[in-house]
Amino acid sequence: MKSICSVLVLFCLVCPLFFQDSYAESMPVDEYKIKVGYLFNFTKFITWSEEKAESFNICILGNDPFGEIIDPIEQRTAFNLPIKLFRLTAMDKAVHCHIVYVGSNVSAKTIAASTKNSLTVGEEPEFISQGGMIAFVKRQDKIKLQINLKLLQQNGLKISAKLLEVVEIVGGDRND
Amino acid sequence: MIKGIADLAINRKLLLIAIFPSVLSLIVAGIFILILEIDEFQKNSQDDLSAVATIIGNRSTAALLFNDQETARENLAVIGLLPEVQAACLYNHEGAIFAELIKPNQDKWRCPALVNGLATQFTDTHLCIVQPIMMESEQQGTVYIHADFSAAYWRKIQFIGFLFLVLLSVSILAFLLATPLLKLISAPINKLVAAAKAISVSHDYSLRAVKVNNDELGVLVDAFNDLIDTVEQQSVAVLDAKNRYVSLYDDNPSMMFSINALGNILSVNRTCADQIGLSIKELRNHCIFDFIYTADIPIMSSFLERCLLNPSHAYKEEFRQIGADGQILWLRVTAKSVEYGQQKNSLLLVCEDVTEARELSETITYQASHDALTGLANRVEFDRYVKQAIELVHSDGSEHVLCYLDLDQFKLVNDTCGHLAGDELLRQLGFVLKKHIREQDFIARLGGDEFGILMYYCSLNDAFLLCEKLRDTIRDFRFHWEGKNFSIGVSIGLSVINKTSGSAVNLFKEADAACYAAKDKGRNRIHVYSPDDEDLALREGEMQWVEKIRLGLENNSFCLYGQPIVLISREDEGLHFETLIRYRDESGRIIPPNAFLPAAERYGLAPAIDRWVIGSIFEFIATTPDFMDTLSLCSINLSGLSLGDEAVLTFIFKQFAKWQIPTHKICFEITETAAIANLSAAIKFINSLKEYGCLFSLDDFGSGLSSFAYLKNLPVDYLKIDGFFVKDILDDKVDLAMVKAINEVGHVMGKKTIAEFVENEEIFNLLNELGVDYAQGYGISKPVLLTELKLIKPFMIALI
Repeated sequence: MKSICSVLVLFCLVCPLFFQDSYAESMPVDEYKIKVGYLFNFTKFITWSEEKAESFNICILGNDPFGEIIDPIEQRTAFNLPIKLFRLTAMDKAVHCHIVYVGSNVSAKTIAASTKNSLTVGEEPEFISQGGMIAFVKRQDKIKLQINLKLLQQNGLKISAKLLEVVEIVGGDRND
Repeated sequence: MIKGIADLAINRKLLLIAIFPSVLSLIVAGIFILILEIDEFQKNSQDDLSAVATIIGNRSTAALLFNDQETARENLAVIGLLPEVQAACLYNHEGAIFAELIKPNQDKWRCPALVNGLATQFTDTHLCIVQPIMMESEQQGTVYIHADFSAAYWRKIQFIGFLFLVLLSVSILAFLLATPLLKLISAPINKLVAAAKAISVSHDYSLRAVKVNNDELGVLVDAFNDLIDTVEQQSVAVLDAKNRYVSLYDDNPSMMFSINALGNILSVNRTCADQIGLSIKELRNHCIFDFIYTADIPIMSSFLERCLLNPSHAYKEEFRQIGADGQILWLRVTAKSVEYGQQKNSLLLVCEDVTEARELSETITYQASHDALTGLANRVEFDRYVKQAIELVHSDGSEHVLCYLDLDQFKLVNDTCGHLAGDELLRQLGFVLKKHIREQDFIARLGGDEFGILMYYCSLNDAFLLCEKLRDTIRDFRFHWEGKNFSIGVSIGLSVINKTSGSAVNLFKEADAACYAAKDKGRNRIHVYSPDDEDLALREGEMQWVEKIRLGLENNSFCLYGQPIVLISREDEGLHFETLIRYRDESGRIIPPNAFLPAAERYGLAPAIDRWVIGSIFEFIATTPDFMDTLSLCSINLSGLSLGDEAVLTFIFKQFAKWQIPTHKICFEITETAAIANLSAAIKFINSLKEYGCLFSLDDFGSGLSSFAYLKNLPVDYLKIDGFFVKDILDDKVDLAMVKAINEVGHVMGKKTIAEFVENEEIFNLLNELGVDYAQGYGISKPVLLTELKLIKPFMIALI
């Protein structure tokens, strides 16, 4: 009896995942929607060092996988600052990017020096090893986060423990 | 309900007062505690779970935002540690299930598909917590927790129940502790109640309530005891009064009845019960008429009716009652109707036993109308019948005859054989007469040896024939007494009762006169009264003397004479005479005593004459100068009626005292017949005067029916030889022998002899030879007026 119950429970747990996954696979655009949401969500769990800013800047460095999907983010606020979106090909000193999305064509190594008080986010598998801070990884059709906590803290960012519960903390080797 | 409580005993009420608030507070407190506890419990549970939900939600924000269901599940698993929680669910911001926790041992509770619209709430023992997860004022999702608090509730109830039991125990303990205190109030009240009940049941007012404490109840007990004191005193007083009245009623020697208008007995006293011989209870079932002599019942009924009609009046009546042993009692019943109370219209009867008085009065009535000796009616009764007969004559014109019978030779029997024989003779004769008269006729003994017969509806001729038969019967009747035989005669006088008859008194006189006429004609005869009868005229003349004598005594129409008595031996003696009485009529004629003395004797006037004589002669002796000195002896005649009359005796003594007459100078002459008629009284009379010094002489000795035997008993000093013998002694040798014998016997007895009727000297001389002491008669001296009395020396010359 007990075994039957456990099978049922397992089934119940598995089923919704299956459906969700299938849903994600069939809608590849949504993956970036989620990622946009995640980008925004980072503002709720990560605290940047105090500095004068008029806006919360999100920069897309290199290739822009989001396209227009990300645009609506500019209508929202973070830390009571309006969010501004910058699409950059290279790091611009004039713009302090609170979050830097590193496109697939840019290596994290290249920007490592200019990421003080910035959160670098990428989705390349070697992103963390190249010195990125948070990487989107896909596992079982789910977008998971990998975080180089040490690097984050070195760059003066504080991360909420709540976030840490849902991420995979990895140690970033600079030699990559 | 309140009534039920109000009727409870006091200790129950006190108990109720003690228990009711405790129970009420226990219940109210229990309910409040229950409500408050549950409310508090719900609030706390809700708060707690809400807090838990908030924490879980807070922790799960990252999981929600980064779509980390595993972490969310891990967070939810923490809630699973709480035993009450059955299910916990996490919804994303769109309201869809993000993660859920279902307790592995139950499958009843599932997460609702949609959380929107649900709110935090208790449903019975189940609590649903719906806690939104907020981040920067945006709802990121919702935590839903479903908890089942049944067990907790049960624990709560157990706890409250236990609490309740504790409180109950405390209450019981408090009550147990309070019970002795309650008894302090209830016990004295119960004792008081018990005492009051005991008194009211037993009516024993000597009982008292016990005082326990000095509180208000103690005061109440004292007041109660004081009250009972008063009641006891009054009860004793009432009981005493009741006993007195009961005794007055029950011990009353009179019979008392209380009866209703129909005569049914309501109550009786003990005397009554004893008298009738039934118990008081039995008598209550009886009617008064049950005990009344049958013949008296109608009288009783009308008597009761009269009493009821006039309640203010007490009535008396006499009834016969049948007593215990069936004898008849005479009761004088006093009855009065009772006018008050419930016994209205009932009667109170007080009955007095008057049987004795009644019998006595009947005896008296009988005796008054009957002769004790013969049992025949007496003179009074006969008189009444005669009067009735006269009335009868006047109403129906009938004719009846009155017969007056006088026995002859009765005195002979009486004198020779004594009174007992005389009485017996009268009894026998009475019986004989009664047997021989007609049935309708009425016989009575009129006195002495006289009888009266009233012959109803009878002609004179028939009456005469009937009387002749009676006379013959009596003549043939022989009276035997102590071996002697006596024959009796009867003289009968007849008087007819018709319209011409006068009063009863006249009729008696007529019959009496006729009877005397019959006697005079020689005995054993019948004489019929006729108004022109000469003999009877004389008798009627005699009757006229009665009035004359009465008047004569008042008017001194009588006068006294004296006839000297002399000693034959011629010795000097002094004046010795016999006092004689005469009547002086209107024309001055002197009438001799033989004309009026028989009438005086017959009509009872003789003692009056005797008194007059004694008074007059004493006065004469005392007031005549020198008379006393010359007087030797004065003889005074006493009639038979005076002899034995105490009043006469007293009169004589008084006269002696008044006139200072020497008693030895007075000699009373009595006749033999008078003395014998009542011998014992005569002897007593004689002795009384002899003791005083007086002398007595026996008059007319020898002529009567007596014998010498009487002489022995009579203490006389002188014998007067009847002149009947004396006057013929010269020619009749029998008379001479008689005188001689009397003289000798007299002398032997120590008595002096006096010869009467000495008419001449020859007789005088013969008497002298015979030795007679004294002589009296015409030859010596005729009676003369007292003033002319003188000493006489008779026949002196002859003797010289």
